[in-house]
Amino acid sequence: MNEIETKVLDIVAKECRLDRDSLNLDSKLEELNIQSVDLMQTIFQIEETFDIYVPQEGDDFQLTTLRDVTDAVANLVSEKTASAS
Amino acid sequence: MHRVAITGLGCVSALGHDVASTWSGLSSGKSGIGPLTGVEGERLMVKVVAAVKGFDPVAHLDERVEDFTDRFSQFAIVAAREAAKDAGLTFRDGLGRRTACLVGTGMGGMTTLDEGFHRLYSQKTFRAPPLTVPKVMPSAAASQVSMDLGITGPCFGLTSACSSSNHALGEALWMVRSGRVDQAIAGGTESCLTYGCLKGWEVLRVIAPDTCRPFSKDRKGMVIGEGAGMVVLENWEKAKARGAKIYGEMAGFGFTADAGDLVQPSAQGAGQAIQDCLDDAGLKPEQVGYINAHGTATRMNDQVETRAIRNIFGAHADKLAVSSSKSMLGHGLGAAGGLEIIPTVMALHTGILPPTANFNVPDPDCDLDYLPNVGRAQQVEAVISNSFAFGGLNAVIAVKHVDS
Repeated sequence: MNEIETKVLDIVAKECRLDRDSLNLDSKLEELNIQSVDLMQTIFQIEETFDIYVPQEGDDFQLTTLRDVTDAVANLVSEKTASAS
Repeated sequence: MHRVAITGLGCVSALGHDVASTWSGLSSGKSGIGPLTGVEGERLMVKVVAAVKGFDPVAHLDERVEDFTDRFSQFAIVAAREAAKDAGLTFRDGLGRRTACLVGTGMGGMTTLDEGFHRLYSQKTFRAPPLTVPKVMPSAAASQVSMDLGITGPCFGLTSACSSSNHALGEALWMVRSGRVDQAIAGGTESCLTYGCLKGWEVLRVIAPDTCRPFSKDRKGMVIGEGAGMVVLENWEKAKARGAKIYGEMAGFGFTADAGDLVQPSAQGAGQAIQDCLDDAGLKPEQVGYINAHGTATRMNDQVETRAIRNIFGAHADKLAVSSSKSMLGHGLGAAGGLEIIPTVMALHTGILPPTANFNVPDPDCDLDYLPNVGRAQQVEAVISNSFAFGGLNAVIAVKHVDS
């Protein structure tokens, strides 16, 4: 796992009170049974950590697994880097 | 037990500073939502709000009163004065002792709090403005209304987030019904279009970037509003005896707690509040012709509310008209039920059911008659107004036609 993937999984584990060792990139979000308030805390921490803005619910995101989440974060980070340079 | 008459209405909203202008907008589908102005701060994603425009407190209030009131209290005073005047009641000459004053709010004096704390934290001054505490306290609006009108009976603020106003209206109904008081002035107020509050909402990811489109498939969330709405409730016999104009009968109140999720609504809890309200009013589902919905335009609320209505009204749900005034007034938060009791009562009183504005595309998950964009002339027998709050607090009010 690269740095972004590791950090995102760390955040998910901490904010959703899940066993970090039980998480991998293929973990399905639905099966993790994440509560709505934990999801908000998770998004907040991801935004703070990577200094990005995660867009509101919409058709842009089809998130099924944690890999989808880390890919989306990686995209947002590279968009930010591109627009800054 | 006494029947309870609604004899006065007052409001300050994004559509105007009184009932006439607000109802004129609501009944014709005119939205009070517009670009956010006057709030500065970094990277604010909230772009549209339903602000009260051109409100000059000095035009309404003594300058001294203006000094010691937050905007949320100022709205409440202006709305309460209009309601009292509309009812033709004055309270100082003895009536005040037998009158209750209940004002809901979700937040309290946030403009004062935000500005005061900004001075302390960022500008490194070491003194808070002297009236910070009495301006911010969530009960300030209730106190200010009592002082302004001379009401000396039961008086307090109520808070249950976005259900605050309906809890105030319902509690006032029960006070008058039981004979504890003869009159009540009740409703709610809110003003929290500040940088700090808007940032708090932004991070919840429920704010629409364009406008508020309740029950429309392309809805993107809610729009924050502000304002106040107040009504005068009165012992029916006393109102009749003095020849008061009666808008309708405040007939029922139902309230429940989901005891579940902090932010996700529950069709079960909302439905139970509707059922309790109908029972309290002695109404059969078939008697209700119009529902002023909570209708926030979040994906979740509108689906869940639709399901709750279907569960309670059964086949009659297809004969009901449902609309969301939030499409025009924004979400008044603690003021929502107070602002929305105006169109609820006026729908019954005038026989014009107000529309849901900004409606584009039907949603298969929201399959009721939402009066899209255009209202309808239709005399109904009874109406209800829904409020469902974060924290799972549900409060529903029923109003019956004067002749029913």
